[in-house]
Amino acid sequence: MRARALVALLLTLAALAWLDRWIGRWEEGGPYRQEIPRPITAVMRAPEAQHIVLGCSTSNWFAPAIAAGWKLPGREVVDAHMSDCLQACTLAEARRLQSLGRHFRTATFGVNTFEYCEEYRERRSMQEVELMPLADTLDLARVYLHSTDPLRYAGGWLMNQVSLTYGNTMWLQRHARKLWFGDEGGSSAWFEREPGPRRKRSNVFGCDYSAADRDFGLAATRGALRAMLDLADRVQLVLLPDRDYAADTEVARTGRELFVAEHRALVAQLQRVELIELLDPTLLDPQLFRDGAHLNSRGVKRARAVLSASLSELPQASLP
Amino acid sequence: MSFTTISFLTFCIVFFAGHALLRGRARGYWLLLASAFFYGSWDVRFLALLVGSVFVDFFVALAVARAEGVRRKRLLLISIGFNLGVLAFFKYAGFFVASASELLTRLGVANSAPALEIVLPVGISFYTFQTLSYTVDVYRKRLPACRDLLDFALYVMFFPQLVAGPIERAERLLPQMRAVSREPWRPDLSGLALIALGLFKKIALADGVRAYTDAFSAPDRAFPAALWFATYAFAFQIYWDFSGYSDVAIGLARLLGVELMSNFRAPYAATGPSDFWRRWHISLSEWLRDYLYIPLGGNRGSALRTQRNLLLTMLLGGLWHGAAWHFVLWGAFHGLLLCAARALAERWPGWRQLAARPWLRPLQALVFFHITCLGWALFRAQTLEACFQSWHKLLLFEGLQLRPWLAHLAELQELAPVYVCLALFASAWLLQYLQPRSTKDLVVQVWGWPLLPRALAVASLAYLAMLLAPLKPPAFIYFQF
Repeated sequence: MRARALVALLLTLAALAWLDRWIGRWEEGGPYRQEIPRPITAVMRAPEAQHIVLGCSTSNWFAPAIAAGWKLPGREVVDAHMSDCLQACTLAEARRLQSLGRHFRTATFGVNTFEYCEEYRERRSMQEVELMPLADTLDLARVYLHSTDPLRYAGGWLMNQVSLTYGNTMWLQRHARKLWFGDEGGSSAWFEREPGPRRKRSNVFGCDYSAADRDFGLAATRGALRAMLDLADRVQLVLLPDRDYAADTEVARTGRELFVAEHRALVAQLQRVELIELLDPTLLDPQLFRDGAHLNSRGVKRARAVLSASLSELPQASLP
Repeated sequence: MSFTTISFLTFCIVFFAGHALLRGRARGYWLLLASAFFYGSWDVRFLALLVGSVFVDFFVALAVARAEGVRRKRLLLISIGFNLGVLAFFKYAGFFVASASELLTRLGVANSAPALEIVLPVGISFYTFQTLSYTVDVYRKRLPACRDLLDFALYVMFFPQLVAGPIERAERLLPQMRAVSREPWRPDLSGLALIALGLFKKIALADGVRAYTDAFSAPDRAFPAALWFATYAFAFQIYWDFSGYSDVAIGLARLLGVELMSNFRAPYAATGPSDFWRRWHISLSEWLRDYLYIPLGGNRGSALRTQRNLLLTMLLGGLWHGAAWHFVLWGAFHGLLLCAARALAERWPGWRQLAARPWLRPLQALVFFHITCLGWALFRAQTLEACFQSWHKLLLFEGLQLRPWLAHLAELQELAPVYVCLALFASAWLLQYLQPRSTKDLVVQVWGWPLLPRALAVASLAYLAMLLAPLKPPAFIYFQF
């Protein structure tokens, strides 16, 4: 009796998981899942590409800069970045591309301090689970062990294996909740006769680069770099500026120095990895950012010029 | 590690796998280890306090059982002193120091009281009351002292009900804890239905309407109608939140073959204050009745003395919820309601017959629900000033201003969710009125359905909870107590 009840429950959950995958294939209902295969497809459709850009939206302007810096035709550089794809996701993406038999001359990947803020998101967990070949899952587990709550990451992995509702429908969750209960954002306009003092906006995409975050972030960066070393002859890690640490203050200077020093130490442990420190004084201006982590159009223009100039000083050939 | 987190799911998978593999005392130690891990996941420092409480009460109760006369009483006082002392220090020290300092300032006495920033250990009020009741029961010779430290530690630290109850009595829970490490495991799978329902209540409903209680952060700027809406929202938020937690706790315990007491029985179907407290947070109200109200004299003395006992019990009950004056005010409000109801029944004997008429019952329940809502406004308001501002608006000294508020919402295109929520509140109230039973009983009924509809109902609830989950799920309200 007990076993029958359990089996019936499990079968129903399996049916719901199927429904869930169906939603995930539907462009409108599962946009976060839909975007995961796009960079992989882009890479597979670019057989001539010798250089690949990985990472999240903070790296979305690299491809033209690389082509310009090394005077390459655009088709030789493939942009495989994905929104919200931080280091652990980059690790998974690199492993997936490797399992598909792709290899590159260079793989370029950028980080700023925002990528070191350990903030668990269902969507990120889904990206990691969807991209990572099952055989390489231990690579992810090694990174998760450095997190502040490994059980959460393990649960996320499990949930995404069972049901994509968990990661995929964050979009649906937002819309269903808004439809049922209104805006979750905590706006006070609904009850106020006269608007009170505006609440201060939180620092979107800001991160204080704390020690606990760095432990997880550096483990993930190390994992991503190792996976990229298997994917390409040469790996470039670009240190990007962000708004908080772009300021001309003592705190920002100290933060920047720590950020650079830790990455220099990390890169020193790995062969065939180059560090490109894009912390040029011309880029250390908070006015060049549209939020805590992303450059605005003026910032991108300036950053492209600086990256191209940096690359032109480096040889194109594979590193020994 | 809250019940609604994915970490807890992982924890449960590992825990139940181990529980299934182990036998005998090893199973008991596994449950104890898991409970310690669960509690330590909040803050490992507070684990020492919990373990300290286990040791003190275990050995003091053994000594109480052996002692006679004055020595027996002294030993009991040691246990009470330790438990209440810990509670007083961690929960109330800052509050009393700040309140005394403010009083002195108002009296014109200059002072510089230190700002005590003591972190409140999660669940301290719950497990303190649970251990306290055990020692008192041993002292009253209602219960023999437990001679097995493992059984007693499990009684105090049993993770499903450790941080927010139900506050169980040793005579019910201790034998069940003893069975965990001595008898074969007989899980009751209806616990899965309770867990699914509890998670749905918390994640989909309580967290869904949470944003609407924000009106209490600025009651002076709120439309009176909006404040009433926020009051309804909070009344259901706190019910779904706490009863959802209790359902998950009872469900988890059932999976372990342990039966916990019901904590709620359709509280908004109550027709008066006594009825409400027989339905709301039952484990606490029974504790307050048995270990505070009755020892104070209960209703054995004069009418005035009974009123005093009622008021004192509810004042302390309010203070139990949190170290703040608005909780004391909430307790006083309920104490006065109980006193008034008692006085009414004594002065007007015909009241009972009138109140028992079936046609009057829905009206009584609806009126008392609104009175309860006034109490919730005090509970939610957080400062005394906000309490008074809220009541000023709720009691309609400025009129309801319904039309201007609806026009305001229409302008913001926020009318639809407000109507959805109102429909939800009305249905929830009606459901409680028509089915005035505990969730436990309702689930027993659902579990009797044929296999497929039952499985579909349970899985759909779990699925809906996931679908409607907020991006950052807030903690259970009662965890702060």
